Amino acid sequence: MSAGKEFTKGFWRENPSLVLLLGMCPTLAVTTSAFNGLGMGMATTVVLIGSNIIISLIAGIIPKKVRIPSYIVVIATLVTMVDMFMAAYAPDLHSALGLFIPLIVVNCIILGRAEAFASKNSVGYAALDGIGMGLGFALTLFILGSIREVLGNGTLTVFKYKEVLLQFVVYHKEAIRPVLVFILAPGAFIALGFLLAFKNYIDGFKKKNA
Amino acid sequence: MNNMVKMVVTLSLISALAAGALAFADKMTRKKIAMQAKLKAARAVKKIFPDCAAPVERIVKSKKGEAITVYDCPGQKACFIFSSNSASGISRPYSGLIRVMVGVDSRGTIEGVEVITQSETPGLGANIEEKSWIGQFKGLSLTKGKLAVKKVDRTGSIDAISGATISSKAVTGIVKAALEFYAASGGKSAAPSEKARNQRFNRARQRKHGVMGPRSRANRLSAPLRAIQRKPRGKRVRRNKKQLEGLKLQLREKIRMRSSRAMTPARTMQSTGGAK
Repeated sequence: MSAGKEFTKGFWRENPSLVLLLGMCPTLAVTTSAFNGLGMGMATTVVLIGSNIIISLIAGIIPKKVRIPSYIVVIATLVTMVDMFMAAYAPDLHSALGLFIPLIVVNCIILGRAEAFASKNSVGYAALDGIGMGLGFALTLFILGSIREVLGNGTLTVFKYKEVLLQFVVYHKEAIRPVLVFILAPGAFIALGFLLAFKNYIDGFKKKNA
Repeated sequence: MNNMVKMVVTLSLISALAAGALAFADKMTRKKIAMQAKLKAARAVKKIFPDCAAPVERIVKSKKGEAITVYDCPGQKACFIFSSNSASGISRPYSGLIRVMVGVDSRGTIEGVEVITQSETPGLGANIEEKSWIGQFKGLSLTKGKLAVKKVDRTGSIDAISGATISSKAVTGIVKAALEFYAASGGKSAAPSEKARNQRFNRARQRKHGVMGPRSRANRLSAPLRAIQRKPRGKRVRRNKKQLEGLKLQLREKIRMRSSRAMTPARTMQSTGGAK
């Protein structure tokens, strides 16, 4: 497969949360606002690129039977180090994303990509796969977060860092009562379900016309 | 068998490398993270008391034995960090630990509350950080208003965040416990008034050197003298009465020279604070 395709597959064809259905825990848990989704997606992307590169480098020397624990150790180490350095050198970013970082360890996307792709491909492809998959994941979380935030809170928070806040008020809570359930846990399942259905509908539509 | 050894060795090697990398990262970042935490606390103090340029730090032990840093500000204002683990009986946060900084004036009325750390649900419980919510605490005290969530107690003064009653209850509980700690730690004001300080000092001196007569004007001015007597316990220098009188004379001379300059109450406080 070409390098370009390895990069773009994460956005649609093999989108981690909409097609592979990996990493559902963070997908459902943190998408209470658009920015939270984006933040989680970005933090995951960084870790995913790092873990893909390291694992594609060391895959050759790891015996088959202990590969999963080895990958987990590598990923957990990487996440902890990212957490520490962020806390030390970018405290504002850490206080914004700090919440999501421990969650990344248990994100199946990281282990999934390590096992299914990085361990079988060269470093360059593994890095491209990490970038593509990470950004695809971030985009999906951003969309899901936007839907939930607009329906559940009437706002759309695109960016929040230090004192900078880029937030759109879509409608006023006093005028239209938001559907609070979309911010709560059940809303995550409902919104994700509709998003999945929509994606499959477009795919089906494309197939018919092709 | 050979294969088994290889597996064990590889996994051990990877784990050892990971441990080494983590130890290295920890060594590199530990000091920096501690500094950032301090900076964060200092910034929170600034937010609650904007005109408090140089807060005086002191450590007060809570009932549970936790060392709590109290930042004293001029005007007998003080603030300190209190967490959901600092006292027993606080209703539990939704997840993890919540730490808030509470700022109070001399009467124990809340001047401001800032969330330092929390790991509540983003978009729900995490809204305890929002000014519109946390601002509700301003002006309340143990006697003014009622530190309880309306949803639980109809007479309470705090509106819970919709969908995040547990987080709201937790913060309210922390603030209440913080005020109770503060009231218990040194009367209504965390920074004891000059009078209370002198009284305490006199009592201590009487215990040590016998009654030395009523409080005189000289005693009131004897802050540097106190500094001498308040040497750390192990190193305390025993002075007999004669030596003490000599020192007193010297110091009184110094004070007389200094008192030609105006001595405001704030200044006196600072000088004693520094001498601790």
